[in-house]
Amino acid sequence: MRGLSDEVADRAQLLDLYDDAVGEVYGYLQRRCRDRTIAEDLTTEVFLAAVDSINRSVVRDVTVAWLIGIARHKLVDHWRRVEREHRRLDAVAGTIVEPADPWDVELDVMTARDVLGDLGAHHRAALTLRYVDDLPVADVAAELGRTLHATEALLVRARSAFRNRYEEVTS
Amino acid sequence: MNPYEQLRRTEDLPAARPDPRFAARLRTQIEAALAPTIELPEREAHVMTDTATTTGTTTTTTATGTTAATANAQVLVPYLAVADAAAALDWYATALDGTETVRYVGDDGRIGHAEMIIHGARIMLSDAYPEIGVVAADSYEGSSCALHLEVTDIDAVHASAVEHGGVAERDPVDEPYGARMSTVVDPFGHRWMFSQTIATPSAAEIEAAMSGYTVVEAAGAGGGIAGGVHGRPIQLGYYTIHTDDIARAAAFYSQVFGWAVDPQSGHVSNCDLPFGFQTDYGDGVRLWMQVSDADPVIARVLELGGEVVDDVVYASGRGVECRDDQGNRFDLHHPAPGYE
Repeated sequence: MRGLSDEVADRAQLLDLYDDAVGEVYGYLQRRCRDRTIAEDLTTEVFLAAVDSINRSVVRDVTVAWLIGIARHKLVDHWRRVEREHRRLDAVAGTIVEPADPWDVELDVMTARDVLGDLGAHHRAALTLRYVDDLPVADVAAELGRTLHATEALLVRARSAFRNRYEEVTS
Repeated sequence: MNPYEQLRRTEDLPAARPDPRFAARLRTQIEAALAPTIELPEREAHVMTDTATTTGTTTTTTATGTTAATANAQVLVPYLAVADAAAALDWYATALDGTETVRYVGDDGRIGHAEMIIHGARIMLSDAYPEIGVVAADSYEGSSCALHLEVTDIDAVHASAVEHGGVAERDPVDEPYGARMSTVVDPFGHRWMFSQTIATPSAAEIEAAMSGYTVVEAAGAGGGIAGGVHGRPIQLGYYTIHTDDIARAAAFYSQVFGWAVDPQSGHVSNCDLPFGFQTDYGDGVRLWMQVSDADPVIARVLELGGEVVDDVVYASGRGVECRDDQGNRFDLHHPAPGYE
C-alpha cells in the first residue's frame, strides 16, 4: 500500500519534471487543437488533474507519458464539448458513406493538418486518436466512450469527411 | 501506406513552445495546489496604501516569498532613490548579482517601490519623486550615505561592479581591522563599500596596526572574537531536529505545519528560521550557533570552563559540539561555502 511518503515523492517528482513536461504536454495539445488559448487551458487542466491524482494517492508513476495520457483525455473532453455545440452538423456528417473506390495518394502533411483542423470535432477526434496517436480501434473506442462498432462506423464517416475535404482543398 | 496512416507524419510538424509567462504561472498554480491543504497565514500580502495625488495607482508584480522572507531578519533596509529605477534594477541585477523580489509600477511609468536581495542583503529603491522631496543621489554633489555590503568574494564583486560601469574609488585592499575593502560609486550615484572579513583581530591588534586611532569596543558587543570588527553577537544559524526517517517526518510535518521538507537533505525550505531534519547527529533538537571561524570561539569556551565534546567536518561545514560550564550542550557551526 502506498503511504504518505509516496505522495511527497510524487509531488517532488512532478515539480522536477515540470520544465520539460510543460513543453511536451503543451506541444502535444497545440499540435492537435492548433489554438494557443485552448492549448494553454487544456495544459492547465492536465497538470491540475495530475496534482489531484497525486493528492488522492492514485498515481502509479509520475512521467511525461502519464501526463500525455491525461492530455489525451482532456483533448477528447474538449472535442466532445465542441461536438455538442455543433450537434446539427453531426446529423449531416452521419449521412456520409465511405467511397468504395480505393484512395491512393501521397498526403501533403501541411494540407493534411489543415484539413484535419477543418473537420467536425468528433471526426477530428477519431482520426487523431486512430492515426496521429496510432491507437488501436479498441483504445479509440475506450477514449471516446463508444462501443467498438460505433467507433468503427465513426471512423468510416471520419475518413470520408477527411477525403472529401482533402480533395476539395487540393483540387 | 494508406493515406490516413500518413496522418501520423503531422506529428513531425514543429509544435509551438508554451509562452514562458504561461509556463511560469502554471508552475506557481501547481506548487500552490501541491501544498498541503491546511490554511497557512498569508505572508506575502502587499497592500498598497496610496497617496493618489503623487504616485497615482500602481500595478504590482508579486515576489516569490522565500528569499524575501529569509532576509526579513534585516531590520534596517537601505532605501535608494534613483533617477531611473528600472535601469538601476537592471544594473544591480547584472553588476551586483541582485535578485528582484517585487516592483510597483505607477501609472505614470515611474517605479514607486521595488525590492532586491543583493548578496543576502535586502534593499529597496524607487524612482525620484522630487515633488515630495525624494531626490536621487546624483542630484547632490555626492551621497552622504554609503552602502556597506559584506561579501564572500570581494575581488569578483568589485570587478563585476567596475566592469559594468561602476567607478572604483578604491580597489580591494586588506585593512588591519580584519576586512578586505573596496569602494565603488555606481552609475546612479550611490557609493558601495564592499567588505570581506579576512581576520578577527582584537582591539589591541587593530590599534597597534593603525596609528592615530584608539579603538573602543562597547561592552558585551562581542567585538573581536564574535562578530569580528562588526560587533554582532554570535547567534543561532540553524537548528536540527532528529528523526529516524526523514520521509516520514516530511509526510507528517508537511501536513501538520505545511513545512516543505527536502526528502534527501531534510532541509525545511519555507520557514523564516532555517532548520532541517537529520538522522545522524544524535537525538533531540540541536542548536547550531553560526560562526565564521570556530577556533577562537573554542578557545574562549575552554577558557571559561566549558568543554568541547566533538568536532566534525560535515558536507555542510564544521560542527563542534560543546558544553557550557554547567554541562549544557550547544553546537557551533562554521558553514561550508553555499551553506551560509
